[in-house]
Amino acid sequence: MDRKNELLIRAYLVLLAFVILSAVILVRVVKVSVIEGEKWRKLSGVNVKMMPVYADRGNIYAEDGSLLATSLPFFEIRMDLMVPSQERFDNGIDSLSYYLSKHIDNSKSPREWKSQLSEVRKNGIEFKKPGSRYHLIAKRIDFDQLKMLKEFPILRYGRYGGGLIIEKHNKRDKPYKMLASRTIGVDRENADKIGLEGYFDNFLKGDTDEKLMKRIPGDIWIPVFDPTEIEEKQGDDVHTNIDIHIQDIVHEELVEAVDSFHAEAGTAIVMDVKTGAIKAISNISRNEKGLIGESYNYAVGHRSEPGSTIKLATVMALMDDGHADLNTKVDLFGGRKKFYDLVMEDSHIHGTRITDVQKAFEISSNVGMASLAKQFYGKKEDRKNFIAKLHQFGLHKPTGVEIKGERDPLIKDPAAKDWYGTTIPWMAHGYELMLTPLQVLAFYNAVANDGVYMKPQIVRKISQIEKTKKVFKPKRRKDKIAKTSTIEKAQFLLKSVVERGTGRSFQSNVVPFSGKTGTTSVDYVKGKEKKSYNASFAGYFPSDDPVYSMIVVIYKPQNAYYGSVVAGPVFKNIAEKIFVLKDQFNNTINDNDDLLVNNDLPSHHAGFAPDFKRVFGYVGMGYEKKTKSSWVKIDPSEEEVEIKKNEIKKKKVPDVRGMGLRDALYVLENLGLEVEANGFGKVKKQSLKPGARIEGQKINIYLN
Amino acid sequence: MSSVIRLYQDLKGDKVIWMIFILLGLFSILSVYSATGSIAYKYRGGNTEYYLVQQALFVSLGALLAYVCYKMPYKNYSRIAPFLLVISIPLLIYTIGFGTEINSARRWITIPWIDKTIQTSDFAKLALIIYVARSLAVRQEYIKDFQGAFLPIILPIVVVCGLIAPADLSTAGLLFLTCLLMMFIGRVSLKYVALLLLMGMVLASILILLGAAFPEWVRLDTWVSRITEFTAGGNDVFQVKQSKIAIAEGGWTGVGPGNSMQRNYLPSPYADFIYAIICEEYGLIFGGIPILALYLWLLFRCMTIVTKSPKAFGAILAMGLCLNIVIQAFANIAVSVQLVPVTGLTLPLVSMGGTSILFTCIAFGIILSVSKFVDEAKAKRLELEQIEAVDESYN
Repeated sequence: MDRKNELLIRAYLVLLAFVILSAVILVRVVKVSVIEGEKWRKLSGVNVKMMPVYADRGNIYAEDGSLLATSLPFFEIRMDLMVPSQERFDNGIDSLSYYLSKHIDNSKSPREWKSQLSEVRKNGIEFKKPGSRYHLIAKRIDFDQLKMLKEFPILRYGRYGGGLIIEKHNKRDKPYKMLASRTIGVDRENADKIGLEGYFDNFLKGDTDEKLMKRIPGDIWIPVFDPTEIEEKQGDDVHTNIDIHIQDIVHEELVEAVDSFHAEAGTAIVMDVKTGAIKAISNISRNEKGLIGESYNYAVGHRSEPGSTIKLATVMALMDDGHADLNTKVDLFGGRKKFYDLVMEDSHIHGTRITDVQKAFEISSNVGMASLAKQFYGKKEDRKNFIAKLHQFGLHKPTGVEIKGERDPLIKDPAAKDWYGTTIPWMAHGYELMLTPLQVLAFYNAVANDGVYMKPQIVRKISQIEKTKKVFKPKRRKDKIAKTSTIEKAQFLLKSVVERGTGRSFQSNVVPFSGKTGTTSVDYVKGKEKKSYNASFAGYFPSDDPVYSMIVVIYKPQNAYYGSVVAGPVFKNIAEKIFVLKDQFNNTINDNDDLLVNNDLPSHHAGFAPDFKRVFGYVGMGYEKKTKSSWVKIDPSEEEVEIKKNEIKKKKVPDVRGMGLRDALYVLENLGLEVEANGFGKVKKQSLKPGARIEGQKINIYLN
Repeated sequence: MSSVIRLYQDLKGDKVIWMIFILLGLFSILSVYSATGSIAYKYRGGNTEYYLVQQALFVSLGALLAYVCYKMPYKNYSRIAPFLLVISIPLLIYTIGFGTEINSARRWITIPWIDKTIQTSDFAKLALIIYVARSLAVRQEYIKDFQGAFLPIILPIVVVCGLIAPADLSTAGLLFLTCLLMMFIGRVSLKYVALLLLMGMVLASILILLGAAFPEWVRLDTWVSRITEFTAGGNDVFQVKQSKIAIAEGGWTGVGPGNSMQRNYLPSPYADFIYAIICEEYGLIFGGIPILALYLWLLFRCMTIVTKSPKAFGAILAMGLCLNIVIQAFANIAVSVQLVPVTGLTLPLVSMGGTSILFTCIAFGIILSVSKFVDEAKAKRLELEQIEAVDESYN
């Protein structure tokens, strides 16, 4: 045969084969699409759905980096018993059963494990029972167990070789348990998230992915593909201002007080005067069983009549408007006076008639405050002036703190229908208006801060792993809340309350503090039989140069009720303990000049310039700064420490020796190097030479 | 516009193949745009144009490459074939050992400087087909011989397919089948072709044994589960079921471009199951049947090259490259309708992909280069015949 013809004939045969093949495919496509079309269309969207895959929820940190809330993963393990080959199953089942019994669930003996798994597999193979494709091995194992389990016989061949099905779940954990737990909040499904968890939910939860799920008989949804193949995303971390030590002190004192006074609840907040940073926030309450714990955020979410603590606002309004001064005379009517149809009483009948504003404030006279307020703000046209003052003090708006669930203050509108003749006298001593403890504290903080109102801030920054995404700088209101003279007088009054007035009984000889007691009767409308009270104390310390402001409120104490007896001592105890804790009040380091004169000048350190400045400034050490660069090295060879520039250039390996891990990681990773760190302490060695070109290499750093 | 007309007039080679090439490219851009809805949403923040632009760029770059390959006289390919083969073998070995792993299969190597991954088997495939075509052509005189012809031809086939198989059995099998058909067309004795078939089976069984010994090198588990799932009735295979639903949803006329629902449920709807998405959106009339027809038509056009080609090398080369594309296309479509087990093979030129599109385009370019030569040769022959006719008339 002619060569060309033979080739052609064979080629035509191949072509013919492909024509037949395409015909078969075509018939099949038409069959699926048209002939069986109805059947398949019915299955559309049935038994499949996209389910969200949540990112690993971010952490919540205290100021010093302690973990306040984190997510602990746990895993549900199932096994597709139809997947392993007969040979693999037979070879591995004995040892698998042994390991499962020993490490995963010892409530079943190896023999029981074996017979159960074999049975389920048999049912699957012989009777096509669907359950064998999704047999539960363990409901809840941790990461270490999972690591072990992945090495077990049969299962080590994974999803498609061993039938291992892993479903990851997360459990939210608070390492400090009850501490500030209501403020940290709760991340719960099918309900509003509360606290910081709620407020920063969008950051913490991160980006949500989707995974495809299919339904198997028994109405169980399982992932179609191996969930470990989906890249895990990470939510943002929230860094709070909470000082875990202060929080601890506040928590303990509050628990003690709620317990010993058989109170319904108690709350306390500590704020940094200059910045408005919330250093501690504690909410203690009793549940139906009488157990004490954090279950409701009184500090932020509970609005009530503040009582006598608001008298500060009344005096300040009178003084700021020029209606009264410290020595303005006022008639206390012995402690009992009728306003229209209502009788007002001081906390006890004292018999005092004419005295001055200072004295009236010190003894917290309701009648005195009410009379003055009625005199200057009682008339219809003057009412708005008093309300305007409350606005000026920042009491009319929520503080805007970053905790979900803050209630708005309730301050009546002079034009409103429920405005009575008694409204002004009662507002003057803390009734007919509603505020949260935090709102009262923010006002007191402004007085402590010489009139500058700081927004209470619980969060410092938000970051994604090491990278800062958002910084919350302290926020102040533009205008001072009152004239400087008014503020000074207010500070004087708060000091004298503790020195001479209702606070005298719990003065501290450890730390001088200023503040105002409050005793609010609650449920007074219901009748006269049994009154309950809220006891409070708001103030700041140390008196002359305030660092922290604080409010303590004890709700419905049983065996005593005066603010001076119930809340005041709690304030004192907390203030004293914080004072002892924070040596920044004590200045001992600076007092002793000899302390730093030795040979141990910081040497061979490197890092972020502002950090060094702060440290040297703090310990009162002289230094010479020769550079404006933000990354520096310390040169100890001079008598004085010298801060020199540490050159960080793009595309060049920097010298990170002497830096701490955090600084080194920040610098190296920003330059695009992959970092592997070993050891603790400061960087001793680095694997790439400083100045070398960066081309996406990996760098090892050794710390000690 | 005039430049386009000029280009069209200057364009030689089989115009129908050019058209098939362009149509497949257009289909590719359209359907990838539709199919990537869900991944664009997930990974590109809803920027669906990202994948459209990327695919369009690759198809355009591919067209350029095809043009370059078409311009090159096809005989040059015969000359460079041994070099390509020699390069591809160490590349394959390197891939097995140090390749980049994607979706738990190690088939890629990362090209330094541009940071793109390339599937080494794509390159090796091309090299082997050209080499086998050359090998067959130069041995046409004694092609029935065992030692002189058969052995030297099959040696590279076994080596290359054997090296591809551990990570990518489907591609290796398909390449093996292509070479087998090339040998059949290239007049190798039928009993040797049968012998080669047998060898293929032996090779596959050796691999399975190897897989049992070195599970991390050979994806035995995946094959076994896919084949058992298929033979066990296959209706349990999630992808296949969803693919059939997609095809059925499309019916005769389709649900319209961009309206696919099944793309949400099908794994890699832009690659392995793009045929199902095309059927769903464009229906059988505007998508399913035309796609099938385009590949079959390509085979018919290559057949005309074979009939017209004066040289065996051109004929076998064009047929080999064409068969490789068509077999892969048919295999991909057959998976969609559950004629064969799930393979993971893409629809050539249509599925989304980077370098694999470029290599398919190169194959098209070489086929067109052969067809250009065949046309020129025919024209020359006609001219010669005319001259001879004129000469005769003078006699």
